[in-house]
Amino acid sequence: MLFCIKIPPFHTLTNMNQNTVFPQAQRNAEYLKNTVLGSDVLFHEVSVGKTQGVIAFTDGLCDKELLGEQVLLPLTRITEFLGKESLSLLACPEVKTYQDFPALTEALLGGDAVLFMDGFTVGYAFGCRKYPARAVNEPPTSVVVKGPREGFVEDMKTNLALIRKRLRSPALTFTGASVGKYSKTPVTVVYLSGVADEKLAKRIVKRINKIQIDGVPDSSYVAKFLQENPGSLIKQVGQTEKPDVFSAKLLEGRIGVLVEGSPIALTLPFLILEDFQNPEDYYHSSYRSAFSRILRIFGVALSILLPASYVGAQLFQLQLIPLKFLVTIVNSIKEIPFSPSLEMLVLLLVFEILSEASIRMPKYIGMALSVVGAIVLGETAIHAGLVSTPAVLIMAVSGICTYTVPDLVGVTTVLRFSALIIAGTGGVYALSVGMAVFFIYLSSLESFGVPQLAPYSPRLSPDLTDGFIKHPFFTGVKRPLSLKSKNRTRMQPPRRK
Amino acid sequence: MNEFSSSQIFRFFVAFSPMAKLIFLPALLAENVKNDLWISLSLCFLLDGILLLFVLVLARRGADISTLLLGAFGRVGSKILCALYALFFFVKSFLFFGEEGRFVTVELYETVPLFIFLLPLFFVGFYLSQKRARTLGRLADIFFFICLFSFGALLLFALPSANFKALLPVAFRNGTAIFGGAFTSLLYFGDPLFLFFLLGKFHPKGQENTKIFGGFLLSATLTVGFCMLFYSVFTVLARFETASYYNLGKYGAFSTSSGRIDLVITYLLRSVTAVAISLPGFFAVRNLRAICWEKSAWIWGLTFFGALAICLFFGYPYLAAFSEVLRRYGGYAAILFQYLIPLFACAVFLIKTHEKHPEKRGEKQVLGV
Repeated sequence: MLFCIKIPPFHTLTNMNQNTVFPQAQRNAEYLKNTVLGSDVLFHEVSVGKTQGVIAFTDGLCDKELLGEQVLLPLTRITEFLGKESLSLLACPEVKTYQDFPALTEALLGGDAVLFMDGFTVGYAFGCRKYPARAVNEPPTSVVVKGPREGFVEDMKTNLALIRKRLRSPALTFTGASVGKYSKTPVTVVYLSGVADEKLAKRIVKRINKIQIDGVPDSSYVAKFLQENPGSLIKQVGQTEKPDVFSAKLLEGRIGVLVEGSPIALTLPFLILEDFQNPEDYYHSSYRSAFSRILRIFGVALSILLPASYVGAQLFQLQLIPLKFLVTIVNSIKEIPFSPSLEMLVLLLVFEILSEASIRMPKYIGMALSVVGAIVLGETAIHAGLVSTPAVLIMAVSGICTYTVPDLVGVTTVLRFSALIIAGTGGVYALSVGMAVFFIYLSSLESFGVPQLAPYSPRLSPDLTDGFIKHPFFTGVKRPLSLKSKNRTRMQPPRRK
Repeated sequence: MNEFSSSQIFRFFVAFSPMAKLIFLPALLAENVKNDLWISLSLCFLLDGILLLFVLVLARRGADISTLLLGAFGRVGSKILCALYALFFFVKSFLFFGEEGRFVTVELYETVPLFIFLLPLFFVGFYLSQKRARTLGRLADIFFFICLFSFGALLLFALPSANFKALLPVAFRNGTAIFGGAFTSLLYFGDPLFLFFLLGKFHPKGQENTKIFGGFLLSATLTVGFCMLFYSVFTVLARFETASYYNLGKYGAFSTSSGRIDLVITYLLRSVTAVAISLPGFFAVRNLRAICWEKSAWIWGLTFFGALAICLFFGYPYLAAFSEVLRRYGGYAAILFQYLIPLFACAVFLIKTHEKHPEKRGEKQVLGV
């Protein structure tokens, strides 16, 4: 009787804001049952000699087979539970000890199995996690003809392994953080110590730790917090789904961020030039790569400026168009009831609707609807005299050119419509003044202190070897100047006799 | 990366310096000075070069514009000076924006209402005034190549039609006409004044001053060379060819068969001109912020460009008369604000820094012996 422990009523338990583990396993289990409201958390009673215990785990996140083999089976062979000494007899290599419920709850809901034993005021968390995850495949957003085809997945551990597989150096640093009040999403900052700017890495970790949000379903949420100018049209955080690209960026001196549940890895600082770079540029000959990059820039410029220039020239400055083209255009547009700007605006809107619908529609009716949209709509509209052939052609060329740089589709679309409205209002002159505004805007953009137009503005000559024109492979001896890496040499070109 | 490099200043001069000078000035000089217009321009560039030399010496010595003005004029004097400079830049902006407006009305859009094409220009000026000084260097990096390409193409178009004998005899006009032409052009010059207000933002080392001066000389060569070519092509009719580079480009032989490529070049140069003519406004807003409300750039930007817009819209019918008055009497203000005051401030700084290090003076004497 003297040793009876008076257990307070349940309501006082919850009001106590209990942190530390109770010495009674059942009491701990009761507390968890009342705290964690999901029915996917299961409890199993165990006996180790004369000591009773309870093991808790989350169904679906915990590998029951592994739990049984590495923890439960060895436990049955132990005659007396002695705490830490007994743990060494278990087959599970990852065991953590916690004394407080918040950490234990986080481990439990993260997929660990948690063991409470009578007489011990600690909980033991066993790393038996097994998340449902898809296989490593080629990412749909970054398809290559030649080169690695692995892509990141939603599982952080797999992604870290994909990076570790490519950078087997002790300098590869992973710094973990947890973001999201309810989601508690693990976020890892990755960089190469001695290569990346470590002050920048610490700044990024600090910023991530300051994020206050309910949940993080995707890395883009973290990217928005990392952006220094959240309202910017141009993104300030790079994104990639490919571990080879991610590793290459780490080797240049960038900092990477991985978010659990998202296959899109983030890289910082980000230069606008990166969107025009493709992994294949580094696997093919430099001449082919230079040509491809120039083609991409030309494609994006054409996509933005072609409809606007056509409309501006038609409305205000017909002499811009060569005479032979002018005759053809004038013959095509003479029966069209709409003004050139309205005609082009409608065509571009229809293109955007078709583009959006083709992403969302089920693949079985995709072919039929593509025929309807592309051929029937276009042909019928021209024959009906509602739109002119040159306008449809320009709309199609502009639309296709948008996809030369898939990462810039959103920006290009906004700019295309803006340029069209500007040119429709003030002609090519207003468009050229608009270009001045756009260049002023681009010149002021920075990503963590690095001007986003680098290496062109400010002009950093050593970095131009990997600019819009890709120089031969052995000219890239130094890391980019814009990334302020301490160790600038990354390659020794071979000596030729 | 966050300061002005000497390369950026080099490109700043080449990209922006010629732009405001080549809208109507060549035609005006051709009317008053005729074939000696290049001498008038060279005189103005000579004055600019002297100011630039002083600015570069100060930059090498680590001078900062705030300490420079405070040392020369005191706190109250500096604020008054900033206000006066804002007014001076207002006058320059009025002239430049007015000429750009006239160019667009006369050559590009005869029937389009004024506000349709002037409003975007004011927006460019306002938007630029909200940015930091480092944006100017980065813009220069971008526009430098556009300018070089555009001018190169225009020169190629016009060269076959040029008759350089029209520039002879040299100094045919008397000194009064030549100096008078230089005096009326002074308001278009004074680009080193921008660099003066950027002291503290660039720190040239080694031979970088030579590079910067080289940029200035290149811009001077481009401007003077362009005007010489302009007169060589149009000779006695040059006074009627307002919008010089627009009219010069029309003489390309293949422009009619391939479309008006010269017009494309003109529009490219419009982007550069929009920024170039906004530079006085940019520095005016900086000066106004130095007086008060330093963090409210948008208030001063709105005030400055709003006032400019109102003056231009209401004063547009009398723009030719206003411009004539500005050119006739603006030279006095230009001499005072573009040259005398900055040179005075530079001289005071140099004297004060020289006085601060008497031991160095003594050392030199020892070394001299």
